[in-house]
Amino acid sequence: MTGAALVAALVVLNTTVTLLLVVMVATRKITRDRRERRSEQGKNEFRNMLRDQPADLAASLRTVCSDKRHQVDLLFALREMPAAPDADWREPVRGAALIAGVERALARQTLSSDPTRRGLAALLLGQLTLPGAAELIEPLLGDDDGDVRISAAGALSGIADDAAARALVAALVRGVIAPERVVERLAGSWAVPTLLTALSSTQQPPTVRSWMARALGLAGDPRAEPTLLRMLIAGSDEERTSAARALGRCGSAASAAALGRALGDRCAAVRAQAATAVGSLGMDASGQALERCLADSSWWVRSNAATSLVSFGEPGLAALVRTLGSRDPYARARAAEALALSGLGPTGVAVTTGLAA
Amino acid sequence: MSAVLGDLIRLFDLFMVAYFGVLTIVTTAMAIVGWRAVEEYVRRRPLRDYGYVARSPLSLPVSILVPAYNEAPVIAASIRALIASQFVNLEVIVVNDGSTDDTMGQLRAAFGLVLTSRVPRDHLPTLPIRGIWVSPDEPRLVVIDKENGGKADSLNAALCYARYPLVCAIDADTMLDPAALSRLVWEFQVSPDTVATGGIVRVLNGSVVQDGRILQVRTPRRFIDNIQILEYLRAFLGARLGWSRLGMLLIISGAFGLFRREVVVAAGGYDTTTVGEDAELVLRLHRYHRERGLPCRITFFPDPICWTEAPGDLRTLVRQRDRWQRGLVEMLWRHRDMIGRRRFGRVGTLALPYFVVFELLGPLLELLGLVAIVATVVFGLASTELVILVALLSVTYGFVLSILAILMEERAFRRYPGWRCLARLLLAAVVENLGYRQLMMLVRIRALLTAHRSSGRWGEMPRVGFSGTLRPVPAVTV
Repeated sequence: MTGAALVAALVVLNTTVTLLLVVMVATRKITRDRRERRSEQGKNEFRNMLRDQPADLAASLRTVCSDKRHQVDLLFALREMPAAPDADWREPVRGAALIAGVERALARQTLSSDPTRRGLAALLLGQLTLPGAAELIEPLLGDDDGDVRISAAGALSGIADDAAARALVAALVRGVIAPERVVERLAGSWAVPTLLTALSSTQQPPTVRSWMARALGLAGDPRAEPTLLRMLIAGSDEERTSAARALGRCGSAASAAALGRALGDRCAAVRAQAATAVGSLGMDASGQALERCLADSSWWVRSNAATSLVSFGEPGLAALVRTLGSRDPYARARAAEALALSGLGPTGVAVTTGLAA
Repeated sequence: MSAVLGDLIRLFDLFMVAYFGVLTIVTTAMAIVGWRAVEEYVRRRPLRDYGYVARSPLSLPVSILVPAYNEAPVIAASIRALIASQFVNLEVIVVNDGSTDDTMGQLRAAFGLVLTSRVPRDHLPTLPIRGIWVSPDEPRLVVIDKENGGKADSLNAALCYARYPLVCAIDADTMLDPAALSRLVWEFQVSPDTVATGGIVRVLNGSVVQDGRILQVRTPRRFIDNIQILEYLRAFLGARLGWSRLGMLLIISGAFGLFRREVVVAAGGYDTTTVGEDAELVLRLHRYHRERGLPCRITFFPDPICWTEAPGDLRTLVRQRDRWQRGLVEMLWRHRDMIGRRRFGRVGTLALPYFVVFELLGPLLELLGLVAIVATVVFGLASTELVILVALLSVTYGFVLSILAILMEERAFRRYPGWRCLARLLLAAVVENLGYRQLMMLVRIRALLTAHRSSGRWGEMPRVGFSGTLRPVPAVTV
């Protein structure tokens, strides 16, 4: 083939490919428009079914057993339903799904070689809260695929029962998934008994225990207070830090003394969390200790102490104003900023004017 | 004509054939890899609950760094839109880089700023800071007022005061999609060894915007704007996605990137002596990690979107492209000792040589190729027909890449839903060959040949402002 002929052939090839691509763009647009309309229709149908629970619900759910598009539509519709585990719609839908064989199909799908199908199976099992779902999902917490692991954690938090909590705690202990992704999903009252049981054992390393404490804090359940108090008093640096943080959300007057002492902890992170916690709990009896924290060596402690003092109202503001005359420039700076940000009018204006001068 | 000259021309012609052959193979390979990445993303999308990432108190928090120089028309709306981002754990650090307009005044008026003082977390060298301001109404906002030192200097100042482990550097005139941050943060949470991730930059021109939010995406009427949209689609969906999937991403757009703060600081922050500080940083991060034997995942993810105003006139466009090419020159020159070195993995042995030969020298070689073609015809070494066919080959291959990018966009994202938008983009694919590409080639050549005279400054781009880009609309509930 001569050079010209070869080039001509390539030009023809490019032109053909170009025309094909243009046709593909146009047909893709048409089919995507159609598919999106169908998908929206499918989602609407599932929404209506979940809400109205017609007699043929099981038959409708049968399409979900194998069709991935219907699975996605159902998933979107389920996410819009009330999330409470004991919501009215759950029992009839669960029953219909069992009749339709959805549980068996999804159980098989958790073993698929396609990670998106595994993830989808986990999410649907979680949303439908089918029997034995937690046991089916648990292995996916250690999946090779990151999206599947996170989907599995999300699915278990949707189930929100003891089995799900045990699976998540076990994953936290084994370290198969980033701890933050587990803890954010354990942040509910449903997980508190399992977490407290796990913490009653001292076999876990301090890091794991501190993450469990973090989860208890996010749950904000007062049942956790005694355990967290013990951790604040006797735990490692990590554990005391998490315990102080958690007590800020679920503590009470019973924690006042321990948190007040924690303001003088040797570890800056503990002091910082304690400073925030006493502010959250309105423990103005710790006002003097907080005032001393304004001159702490750690910027984080100073900042949190200033913020907490603002929340104490007049006594706190008075402490901040006193600190404006401190010899410590860092303490003055934090007090000034807290006062300015409190937006309390003349005090703030006077402070910023002084600072600018 | 001497036989020697004829032989030289033929030899050069052969070299150019080989050059364009390799370029075609690499470009096609990147497009295919990019296509597969888009397909995979579409499959995975249902698994990703970005809303949860935005709401979770344990999502990695982000400091958004916004360097601002003479952005008075847009700054208040831009910052309001950022603060309203659907992401719970964020702070916004605006750096007023010695603006000569009323940027600082606009910020003070819009947010009721009060002066404060803060201790920086790190110490990167920057020009003097005149003041740190915070807002009683918006506790997530910090404004750093400093002497003019350029974008990189501003970013370094912001890095020193950033509180959070992830930092997102964006331009003051860009608008983030509401879920953009969640999408980027997801990448870090799924793969904790991620060091940096870039999102896609899209052209705002022609769209309907109000109060710093996009109400409707449209393609503009002018060819110059549509051609730029097409260029961005080709660059991001075609090339960048491919490089990212192969672990050889060298560039994260300065308009929109998310980085691990401690790593950027450890690597020395942004280089203030180059106009391509974004690309230079990414390459330095590669170097930093490979020299220490650390894992380094730097990726591009096409769904998190930031919208930016593209140059609407040729003069500004030329200046922008000149700066980009200079940035590339500076980046490759500074890290020339990485080129071809196995120590730096595929970045050193594949990506950098490619960039030198095809991105840096490419426009020059293209021009020489044109000259050689003319010489070939003039000296009767080849027929006019062959020359025309070669030109057509180049143009039609350009069509293939452009329409493939449009197809990927239509497949996965559909941000331009209307038929008219599609038609404009397809037409732009044709029109850009009628002078635009040739002009850009000359601009890049000039930048290459005069890079040693670079002043390291950005210059100014006239700002239309978000509400001014577009036709005015009554308030709409979206």
